[in-house]
Parts: sequence; C-alpha cells; structure tokens
Amino acid sequence: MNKELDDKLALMVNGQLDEQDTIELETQIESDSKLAAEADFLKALQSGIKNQSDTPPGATGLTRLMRDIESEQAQVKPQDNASARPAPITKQTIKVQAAANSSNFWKPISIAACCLLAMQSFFVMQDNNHNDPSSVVTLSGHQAAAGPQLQVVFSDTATAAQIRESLLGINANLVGGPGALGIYTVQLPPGSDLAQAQMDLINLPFIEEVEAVVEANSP
Amino acid sequence: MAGDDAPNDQQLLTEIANGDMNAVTVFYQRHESRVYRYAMTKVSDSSVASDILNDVMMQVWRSAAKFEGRAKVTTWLLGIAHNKVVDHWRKLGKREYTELDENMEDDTTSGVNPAHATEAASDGKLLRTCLAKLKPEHREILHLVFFEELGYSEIANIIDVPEGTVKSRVFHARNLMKKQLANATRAA
Repeated sequence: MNKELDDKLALMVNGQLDEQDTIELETQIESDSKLAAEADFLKALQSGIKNQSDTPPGATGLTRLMRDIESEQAQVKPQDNASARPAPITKQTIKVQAAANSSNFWKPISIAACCLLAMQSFFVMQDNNHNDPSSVVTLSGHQAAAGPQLQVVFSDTATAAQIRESLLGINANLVGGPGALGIYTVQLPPGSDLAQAQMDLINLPFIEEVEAVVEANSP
Repeated sequence: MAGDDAPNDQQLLTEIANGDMNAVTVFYQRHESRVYRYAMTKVSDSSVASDILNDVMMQVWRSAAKFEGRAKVTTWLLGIAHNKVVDHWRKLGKREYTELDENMEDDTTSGVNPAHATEAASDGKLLRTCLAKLKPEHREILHLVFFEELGYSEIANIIDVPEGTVKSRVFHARNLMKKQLANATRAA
C-alpha cells in the first residue's frame, strides 16, 4: 500500500476525506483485500478509541475553575485600581509605600530626634558665634557674607545619627526647620561648592530632596 | 446569556470575554471531556490531566477576547491544551517529545495478521493496555485522528508540527498499535 493511500484511508475512516476521494477509495477497497483489511482495522481502532472511558472531573472541576477565576479576579482588581492612577517610581512613591508598610512607631521618634538636633545645632552655633567673625552684624543690620544654604527633606526613617553624619560630611549646620512640609534649612560654609554639596546629599538613601536656597535679592 | 438557542462556541467566547460566568460554565461543560481526554492521552495521569484541564479553562477565560476566529474553537482549545502539556513537561524537566524518527521505514507490521489486530481492537481493556504502551505522541495522534476526527492540517496547527510530520506520525502510530494488538491477541 502506498503512503498516499494510507493517509487517505485514515481520513476516510474519520470522515475528513472529501466525497470524490471517498468514492474512489471505496472502489479500490472493493477490489483490494489488503486495503479492505486495513480499513476494517482502522474502523475497529476508531470505535475502540471512542469507547474508551476517561471520566473528567465534572462538577468538582467546574467548582475549582470558578474558585480560581474568582481568586484571580480578586488579585487583578487592586492592580487595576493602582494602574488607574499611574505614577512614576520616585523617592516619594517609595516613601509612601514604606510608610504604608511600616508602623508609625518610628515617625514621632525621628521627628523628635530631628528637633533635638536642630536645637542642639542652634545652641552650638550660638556658642561659636562669639568668636566667629562671620557672625558679626554690620551697622546696617545685614549679616556679613554667609555661605550658601540648602533646603533638605529627610525620609521618615532617617535617624539622628544619619542626619548628623550627612551634615558633617559637607561641613554644614542645620539652621532651620522642620517647616510644615518637613523641610530643613542647612547652612554651608562660605565659598562651599553648592552643586557638589547637593550631589553629596541627594545620593544618600535617607534624603529625599535637596534644593539650593535662592535669595530674594539675588540676581 | 439571552435567547433560547444554545450559543455556539464563538458566541460563548465573546460572552466569556465580557465577564459572563454562565458562559464559562456552559463552555466548560461542553468541552471538559474533550480537553481532559486529550490531556490523558499525553500524561496518563488523571490528577495531572485535571490540573491541565483547569489550566486550559483558566487560559480560555483570560484570553477569550483574543480569539480571532481564524481557526475553529476546538482547534484553538486543543492547541492551548497542547501548550499546557508542554509547560507541564518543561516544569518536570522533560523534553517536549522523546526522540522520534518520523522518516524511518516502519516494518513493525511484517508478519502481523490484520484480522487479529482488528479483533483485539474491539476489546476495550486490551485496547487500553496497548495504547498505554505507545509513546505519548503516538497516543496523541491516534486520539486526534480517530476520537476528535480532525484533518491533518488542523492537527498540525494543534501540535505545531508540519503536516508531513502529522501524516508520518499517524502512519507509525497505527502500525505500532496494530502490532501491539496482534501480539496481545497471540499472547492471550
């Protein structure tokens, strides 16, 4: 039996052979006992395969499917809500997520530590000012030339030690804050490289924003 | 779902895409046996076949909206089932198929009495035993031809092989089956 005939025989048995080819093949089968025996075998094989009983899970499977769909829907919905308000991943985003994930236990402690540091810096500066010529006030009431200032926002999780270390790193003092928005003002020594100090601070993981203070009468 | 007439498969997919859970139920009940039996031919394990059935129906629910109607729904569905089986084997670290030489000259039926094989094929238990001895890809091809009654091009789409490979695989599978059945009858 040639291969083409063989291919057609299987299709004739499963009903996929077109009418013309079926008629031709049936004619051949009538005159070829070997072909007829093969066709009989395939018909018996098909009948046997169709009668094999593999029972699917039925209602149990359907219940499982419904449960899995509901579970997936429940997971997808919060993600949909989040994607409805797309926002870039920024330090602010991380801050919000971190705040949501962690307890508020450290927040008041951090704020208290920052206030303490600010007060301490203030008194130290007061103390230093006795001998510091830069603190001499002119007769016109204007302060002598001071260094540039930066406004800094620390993350909620920043510790007093981290804040102190960051300021010492750029030889700066904390001179104001925190304001209502949690912004601190940092004083750099005269002649400091403002851009470099900004870079040094923004690269620290517990600092969220650093901006140079632009004085109102500056050009 | 509106209307008294049962919706066809494509209508059901549209309704599933719109979130109609009744359509999911109807679709599941209509096709669970088809998918389960197909999976059984490949994995021969009822619990794994049930898992694959569930995975396939979940995939239908997720991607009903993507069905473009370029193939019959059953072809699309069995194609998903085929992919899920491949995924299952991949997770187990198995190859998609064992090495098969589709072009080898098959002489396995030499000396086989076709009448014996035909008689044995009508014995359900014997048939099951002989099918179990075939490689999964041979069981699969016999299932798609004789149970699903599909043409070669549809089968090629489902199992993602050329049509020539399908024909060759059918040829080898039925000859191997004939030999298994004839030998089983002789041994009995």
